[in-house]
Amino acid sequence: MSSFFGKASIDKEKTVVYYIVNGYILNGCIENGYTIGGAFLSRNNTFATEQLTDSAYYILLSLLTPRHGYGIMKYVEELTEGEVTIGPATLYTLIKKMQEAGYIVLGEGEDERRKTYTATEKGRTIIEGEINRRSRMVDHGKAAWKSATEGINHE
Amino acid sequence: MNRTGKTRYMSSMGLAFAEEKEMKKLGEMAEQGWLLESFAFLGYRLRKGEAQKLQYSLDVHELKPSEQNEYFELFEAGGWSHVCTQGKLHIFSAPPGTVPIYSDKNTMYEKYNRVIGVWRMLAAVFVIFSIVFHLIYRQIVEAQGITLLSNVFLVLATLCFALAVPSLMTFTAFLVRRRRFR
Repeated sequence: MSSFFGKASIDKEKTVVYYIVNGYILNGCIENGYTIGGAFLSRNNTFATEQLTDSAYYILLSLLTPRHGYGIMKYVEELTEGEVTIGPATLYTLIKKMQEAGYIVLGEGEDERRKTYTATEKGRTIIEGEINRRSRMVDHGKAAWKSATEGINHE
Repeated sequence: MNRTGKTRYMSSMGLAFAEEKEMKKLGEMAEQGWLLESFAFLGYRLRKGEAQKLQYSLDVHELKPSEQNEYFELFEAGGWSHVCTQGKLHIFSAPPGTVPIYSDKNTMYEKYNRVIGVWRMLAAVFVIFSIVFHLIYRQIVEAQGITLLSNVFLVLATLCFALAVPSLMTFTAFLVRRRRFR
């Protein structure tokens, strides 16, 4: 009986992921308790532009090469020179979600005890888009800053 | 609080209502040499040990047996020692200054979201059943007066109501908690 329920709930989750993957992620899904995707897709976005939260962004970046859990935490800290640190509960939550969404897969680890993860093709596409989007945001910021300070100089 | 030699019991108000307060209290107890050992009925069991500065954190994750190793290893790698587990509740401890187990709001929101569904359903079931049983009770009383059957429904309605109140309170507490991380 318990295995039956276990299976049923997994299938339900899969269906939800399937919906999200196919671009139907709406705020409504999240509000109703279907939160797959909610943790790593920015909650304020209503459309299916799959924006990553900062934590998910850094985790996915670190999985461009295969890494295990500890490796992810260490790499993110090194990459950002200690500016960003990821807590283990946040990391675990996001690994599970991204795995369910097909952004990352469990690698064939040499070491059986240590699970390694790698970004999938889909994950790579997402992260590439995200790097570009964030880069454009920086450009916008700089442009706005520049025009504002130039405006002051003219007066 | 009872003391029995080397162990001691600390009561819990319920994690929905006082999670932070109780985690802080556990830290204070550790400073006095009373270290958390396990969950106990409506509380915690502490054991006498070396006094130390520790912070405690609670996580909620339903783990399949195959996921347990990975989960606990992640915490270990993050500097958090696993203390005890009951169902999907896990408590970890770490020296002060360790990176918190949750480092962003979105995943903290998720943490409470994982428990809120169960309480929403429980509260709804008890509320609905207490109303339904009460209506049945009134129907019977109107039709036949007070009988054994009407009393059975009255008891059932009262029982459901008595359970609906704490479930509603817990559900609301989690709702408020989750709201902080929106």
